[in-house]
Amino acid sequence: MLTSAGLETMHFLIMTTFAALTSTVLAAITNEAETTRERCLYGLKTFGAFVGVGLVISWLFYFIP
Amino acid sequence: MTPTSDAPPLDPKQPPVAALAPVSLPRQVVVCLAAWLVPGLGHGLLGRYGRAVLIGGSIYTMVVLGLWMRGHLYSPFDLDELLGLRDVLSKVCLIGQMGIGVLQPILRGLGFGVSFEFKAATYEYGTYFLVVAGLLNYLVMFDVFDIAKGRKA
Repeated sequence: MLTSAGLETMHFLIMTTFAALTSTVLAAITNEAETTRERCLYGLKTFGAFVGVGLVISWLFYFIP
Repeated sequence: MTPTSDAPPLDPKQPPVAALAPVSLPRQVVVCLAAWLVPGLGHGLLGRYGRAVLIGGSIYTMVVLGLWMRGHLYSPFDLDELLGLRDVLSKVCLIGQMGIGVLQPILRGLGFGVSFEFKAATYEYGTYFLVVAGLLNYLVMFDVFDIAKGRKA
């Protein structure tokens, strides 16, 4: 059984999983890429943007009491 | 002298004309409905099997993870007034989760995501995994519509 206490330390893993799944769908349906290689690059960029922006926002929130 | 023509120049990056062929109107309706009811099925019916597997796999994985993290599945029968502004956030979540398609009421019927697990640390994560899974499927429906209309390869 999944315990709440165990998952409190897994926020980053959950965010990364969310970013990976969402970017996969967005890469599959994007209009900005036609070839498979372009779709993969688009997906990687989207994934990086999700994780990067998430880390920046969490770093900013660190200073808010 | 180079012969002139009104036809656009051949570009190897452009998809072949056959790939942009639109399908009939009834078939457009069917594939869009299929894309809503079963994520990935719309692309599968249009012959985009790779994309169908990626989309279906990702959305169903999000649903499973959302329930695993004790997310809540909203139901229109749980809301006090369906058309008013009261409890508007629940209605927004319900509209988002309805994008999952036929799986949403089936899972509710089977008893998954019925209770509110407020004390679970991952309750919010789980609920929004379920909401975003539905919202992504709405985007997928637009993509299926574009392919069926012949606007996209």
